[in-house]
Amino acid sequence: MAREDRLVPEFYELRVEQLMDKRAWDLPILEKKDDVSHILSILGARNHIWVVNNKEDKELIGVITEHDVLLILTPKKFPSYVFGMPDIRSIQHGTAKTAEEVMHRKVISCKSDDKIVDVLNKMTLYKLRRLPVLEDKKIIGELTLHQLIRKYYDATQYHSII
Amino acid sequence: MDFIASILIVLAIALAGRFLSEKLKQPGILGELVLGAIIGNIGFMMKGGELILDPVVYNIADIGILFLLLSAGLSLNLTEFKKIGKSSAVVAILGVIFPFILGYIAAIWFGFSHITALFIGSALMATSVGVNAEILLELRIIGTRLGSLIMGAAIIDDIIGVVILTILVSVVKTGYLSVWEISVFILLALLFILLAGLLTKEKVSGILDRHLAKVKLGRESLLIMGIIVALLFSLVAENIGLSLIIGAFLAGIVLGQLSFFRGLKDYMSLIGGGFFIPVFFVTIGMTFDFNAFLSLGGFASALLLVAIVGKLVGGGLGAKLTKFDNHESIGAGVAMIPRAGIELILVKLGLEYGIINTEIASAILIMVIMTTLISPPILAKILRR
Repeated sequence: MAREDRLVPEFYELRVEQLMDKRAWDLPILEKKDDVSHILSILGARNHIWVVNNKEDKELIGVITEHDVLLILTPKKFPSYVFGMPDIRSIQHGTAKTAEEVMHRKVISCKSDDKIVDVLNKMTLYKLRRLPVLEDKKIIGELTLHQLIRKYYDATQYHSII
Repeated sequence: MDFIASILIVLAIALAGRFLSEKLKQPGILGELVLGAIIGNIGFMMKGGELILDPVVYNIADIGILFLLLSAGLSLNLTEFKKIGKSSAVVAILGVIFPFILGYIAAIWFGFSHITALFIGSALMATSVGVNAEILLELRIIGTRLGSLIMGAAIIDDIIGVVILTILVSVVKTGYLSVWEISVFILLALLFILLAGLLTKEKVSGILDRHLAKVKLGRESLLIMGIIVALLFSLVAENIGLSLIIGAFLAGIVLGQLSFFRGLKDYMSLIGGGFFIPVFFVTIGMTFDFNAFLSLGGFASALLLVAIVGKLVGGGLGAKLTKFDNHESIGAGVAMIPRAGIELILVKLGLEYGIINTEIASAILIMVIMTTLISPPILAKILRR
C-alpha cells in the first residue's frame, strides 16, 4: 500500500510524452475524403480513426469511433423532439459517404507536455478512452487508456514507471 | 393544486402522450399536445372550472422554451449548415412568405388588429422538420436531392421563425418608444448578434477552447456552466429589447462550436427533454379551450386552410423555380406543411403579452395538430408514386 501511495502521485506528475505512443506511422489515420468502406475496414480491427486534412501535413480535423459507426449503421430513428438540425447520417440512406461526413469534429486533445493527471481528468469528463497528442494542430501520437493502465500496472510490478 | 400534484399530472400526461405517439407512429410532441388539451378540457368540464396548475409549473415551461432553443442552437452544425443549397433557401423563403401573407390577410378579414394579424401570420411560417423526416427516411429520399432540399428548407424555416418571433416580441415591447430609443435598440441588437457571430468563428472558438482547456470541471459543472451561459445570453437579449429565446438560441450556436462543451447537447437532451421541455408542450396543449375554439370555428378552419395552401404553394413554387419537376415540387410543398415548433412558443408568448386570446391560441393549436397529422400520410402517398 505504501508503494502505491507513492506511485500514484508520481504517475500523475508524468508528462504525456513519457507515456504516449509515438509511432505516428502506426496510428489509424484517414484523410477527410476517404470512403466509408475504409472506415469500416479499419474499425473492424481498431477502436478509432483520426481524420486529417491530408496525410502529408497531418492536421487533425476529426475522430471516428466505434460509436460513430454504430450511429450510421443502426436504422435511423429521430428523437421525440427534432428542433433545429437533425442528424441524418446513415449508411443505409447514403448520407454518410466520406470520413468527413462520419467524423466527430470536436476533438479533445492533449499536448506532449501535459500532465497525466490532466489527461485522466479529460478522459473522465468527456468519457474518452484515447486522446490524440497534438503539436501545432498536427497529430504526433496518441495516448490510450490501455497504455496508461499498462504503464501503471507495470510500475506496481517493480518496473520503472517511465 | 399544489406544486407536486401539478407537476405529477403534467409529467404523467407527457409520458402517456409519448407512449401513445409511439404506438400510433406519430411525433412525440403530438401526443403531449393532444393529451394536454384533452386533460385540460376534461378538467374544465368535470369541475365546471379550469384545471388550475401551480403557477411554478408555468415557470418550468418557460425554462423548457429556453432549453428547447438552446438544444436547437447546439444541434446547429455550422459546417453542415453552410452546405445547405440555395434551392433550399428559395423554398424556405417562399414557404415563409406565402403563409405569412395569407395568414395576415385571413386575420384582418376576421377583424383582428394589425399586430394580432402579424402574430397569426408568423405562426404559420415555420416548418417542423422532424414530422416528415421519418417519412423521408422510410421512402429512402433523405439522402437524395429532394430530401436535402426539404431538410435544408425546414432548417432555414426554423431559423427565420426564431428571427421573426424575436422581431415581433421586440416590436411589442418597443412599440411606443421614440425614434432615438428604437435606434439604440437596433444598434444594441446588431452588436449583440455580431458579437455572438464573432464567437462562432473558428479562430475565436479555437482561442476560447485553448483557454477553457485549463478549466477543470466535472460533467455536472459543465452542464451548469452551459446553462449559465444560455441564461446570460437570454438576459442580455431580454434587456436590450430582444426576446429571451434568441439569446438561448445564439448561446447554443456559440457553445456548439466549442470542443470544451462537447457532450452538453446530450446532457441538455436529458435534463431538457426529460423534464422541462415536456412540461412546456403539455402546458401549451392545456391552453386549448374547446368552447373558445368552437366560438371561432370559422376562423380556425380558415387558418388551417391558409396554413396548408400557403406552404403548398410557397414551398412548391420554390422547388419548381429551382428546377425540380412538378411531382417533386408538390412533394416539397407538402413536406413543408407540418408546424410543431416555433408556433407553439409563439402561442405562449402571444398569450403572455396579450396579443392573442385563448380563441386564437386554440385555433393555432388545432392548426399545429392537424398539419402534423395530415402531412406525413399525404407526403408518403405523393412520393411513393
